[in-house]
Amino acid sequence: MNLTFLDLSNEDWQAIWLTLKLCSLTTLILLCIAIPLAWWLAFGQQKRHSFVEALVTLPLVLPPTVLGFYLLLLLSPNHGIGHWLTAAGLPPLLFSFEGLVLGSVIYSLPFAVQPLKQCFRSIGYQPLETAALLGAKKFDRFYNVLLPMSKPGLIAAASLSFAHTLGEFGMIMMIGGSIAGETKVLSVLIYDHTEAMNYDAAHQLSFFLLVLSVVLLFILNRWQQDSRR
Amino acid sequence: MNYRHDFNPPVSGGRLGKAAAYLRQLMHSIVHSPDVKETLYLKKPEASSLLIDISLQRQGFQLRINTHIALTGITAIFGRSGCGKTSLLRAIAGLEPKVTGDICFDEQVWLSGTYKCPAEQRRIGLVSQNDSLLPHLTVEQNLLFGYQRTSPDLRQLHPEDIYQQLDLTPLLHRSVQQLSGGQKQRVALGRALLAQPQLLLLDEPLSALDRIGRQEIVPYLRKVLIDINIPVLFISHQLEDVVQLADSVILIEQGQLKAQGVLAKLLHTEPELQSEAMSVLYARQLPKEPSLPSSVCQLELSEQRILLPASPSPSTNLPKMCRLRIRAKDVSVSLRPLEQSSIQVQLPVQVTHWQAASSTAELFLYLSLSDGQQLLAQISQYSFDQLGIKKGCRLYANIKAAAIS
Repeated sequence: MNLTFLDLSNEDWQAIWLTLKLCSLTTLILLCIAIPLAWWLAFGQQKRHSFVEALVTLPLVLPPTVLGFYLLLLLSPNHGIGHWLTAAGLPPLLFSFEGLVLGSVIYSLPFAVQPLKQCFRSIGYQPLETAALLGAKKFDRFYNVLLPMSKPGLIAAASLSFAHTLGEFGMIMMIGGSIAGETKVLSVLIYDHTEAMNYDAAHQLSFFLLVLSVVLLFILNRWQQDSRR
Repeated sequence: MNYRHDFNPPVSGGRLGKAAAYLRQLMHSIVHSPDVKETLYLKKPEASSLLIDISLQRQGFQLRINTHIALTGITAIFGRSGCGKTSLLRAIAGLEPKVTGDICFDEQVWLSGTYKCPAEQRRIGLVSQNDSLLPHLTVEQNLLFGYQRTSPDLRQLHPEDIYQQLDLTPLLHRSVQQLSGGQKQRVALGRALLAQPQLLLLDEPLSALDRIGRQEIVPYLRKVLIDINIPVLFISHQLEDVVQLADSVILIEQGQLKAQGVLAKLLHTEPELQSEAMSVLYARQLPKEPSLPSSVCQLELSEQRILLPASPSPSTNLPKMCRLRIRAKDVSVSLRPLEQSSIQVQLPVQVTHWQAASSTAELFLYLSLSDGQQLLAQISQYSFDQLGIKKGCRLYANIKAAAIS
């Protein structure tokens, strides 16, 4: 096996770019969803909170293929959401980059919600009440008190979402297929290379992913340690 | 007294109009109530009024308070742990979402029916028992958090003055985690004051502190509360704090209002306040006279001059009125003034009534001073009989100066 480091083809670069785009976009969307959702879950004690909590945690226990299968059903032009989308004249989400983003957001949701929920619980209401009595309005309290105090939780949520999306495979195979430049992300391309007995290329990409993941997790961990100090 | 007649409730609705009318009527009754005359001993003539008619239901606990409070100086909310003091304070501050009823402060409606004035618009300063400093900010940023959020025309207390008064300058650039418990409470107090509150709430600010921590805040607290003309509501379950700081008291028992009034009076009528029988007298501080040694200070109490050991704290900033705490067992009575005695404080008094103490051999004498203040003396049944004390008879109350704090 002849392994020249980073002797990557155009197809490989395309997949890398697509993967990073998918991960960043998913992380960004996840943070927007997870912050209010985690806040709601952190202080709610009713049945509906437990139910939503169970739904959010589902991707942790289900095989990605099961999740992918139901998304496939849901998004197919003959059923539910897919049907409405087609009726509204929108492009179908199935086998498209947008569909992958949707799938990834659902798939990585628990990884964004759980750390934020723990973080919000440890912060509690008190700092926000303090800020309110000092004259800070709602957005002011959110932006100048809750967000800066949640920095460790936000970093954990972002890094876990990003890394988890980076390693996504089963769900993408189910709803994205393997369309170059659209849904063919790194994990899928590695699988394709291996299927085609193209071990050199598969190894290069695998190694790239391995190093990227380690470096990413290391940097984020350092960052988190700093902000705890 | 003139009230503004352009008072517009923030939302329309019959309840608010009614609340405003109720408020005016009660303001009138507060101003003309006999209680106000008694508060003339205190330093502030004009009272803010706080009307409360609220209920709050929690599991196994109900808070129902209906009262008006004339806020002159420092009002203590006193009661056992778990009686609803903190809930009441949080309701006033707008932090209890489930509270129902009406709350009005002066002419502002804070709670009425479905209308609830958000906490950030009530301009309340709160110092709570636990550490409430924002950990992601420095001490200075914490102190200025509220100041920066008040409109400049409301700013009457300025950072430099507060830093100096509370001795905060050396702490400004530290991080919050580097402060001791007492320092944290000092910063919290400064921060609350710099937000220019119209009402200051203190929720057992001393309870989480050890003795050294208390020493770091109590002198500042007293100084600031006396200097700054903001009404204060102050929660405590410790009688000592109440007697040291409060002008009037609200007694709460199991979520209900038990009694309210001027401290000096309630001390003699409410058994909850009598874990140790004592009286509080107000005296006027007189200027130093060069003929007197510096170890004593001169006060005017009930039209009499008395000499007390000078307090060890620097007397430059002492208020003109001061409060003397006298335990009932440190007071003796005699038919004639004592001569050549170590007793420095002798006051002519009149017996109003008496009551048996816990042990049958002793009783409490309720004595009225010439200016109407009340003094409690604990004497034995034997000396009571010996002196032939009757209702209305005139005596001399003798107090050891060293027993006055």
